[in-house]
Amino acid sequence: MTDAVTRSVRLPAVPETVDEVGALLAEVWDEAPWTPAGDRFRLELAVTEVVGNVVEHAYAHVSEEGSAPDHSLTLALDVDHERLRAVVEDDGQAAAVDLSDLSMPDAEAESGRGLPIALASVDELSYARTETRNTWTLTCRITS
Amino acid sequence: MIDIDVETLADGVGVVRPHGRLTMVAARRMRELLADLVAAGSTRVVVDLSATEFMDSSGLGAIIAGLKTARQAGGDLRLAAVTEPVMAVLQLTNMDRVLRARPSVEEAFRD
Repeated sequence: MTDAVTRSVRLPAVPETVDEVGALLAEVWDEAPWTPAGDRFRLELAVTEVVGNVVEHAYAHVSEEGSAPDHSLTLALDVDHERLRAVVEDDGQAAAVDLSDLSMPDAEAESGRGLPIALASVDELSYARTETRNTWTLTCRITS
Repeated sequence: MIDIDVETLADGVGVVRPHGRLTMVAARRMRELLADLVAAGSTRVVVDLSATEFMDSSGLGAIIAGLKTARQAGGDLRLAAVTEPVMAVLQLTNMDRVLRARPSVEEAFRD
């Protein structure tokens, strides 16, 4: 029996990558059939939101300056019998966010729900900034 | 790009039906389609989610924009046939209380 499935990919930081993530996760679930549907969904939703956040914000400062260099992100997946983990990294600007002080916007808001959804969806969500790199780590413990 | 069907029913109700994933990729077009329907006089709009397998915050934002546009024009926007993954997002964001889901397009404005 397989004990763990890992996968790491580098993807362009463009909106279409948000849907690539869904296809990539589907491949991982095929190789990790023990993972419960509910936990798969929780991770997919949170990864989609975090990747969407990176696509929208990480390179926004550079896009405004008109250059189009290699804007990318990496997604690493690591699934075993205890938990599902995803790590999303980019080399863009630091995220102006405090995960300990995030709340769901009110009903009128048309944006701002991405990270609150991610935070509510997984068991652990952390964000770290090193000198040039943003690292988002998402963990779902397997529930059953 | 996902398919988003648009139709106007005999009673003037506009129906928008996104297929597959309603995410950042399709959200802008969803927003435009909803705005166009209301601008064309269909102030009562149903978003039929029966074929929507997945929705993220961008997709939800597009629906909320459509709701506001429809209400400003004196109408309303309602959801029909919400799938389980979409309902999960509505519940996580507390939007299930604002966008109460109806079982079908036919029942969406029957009240």
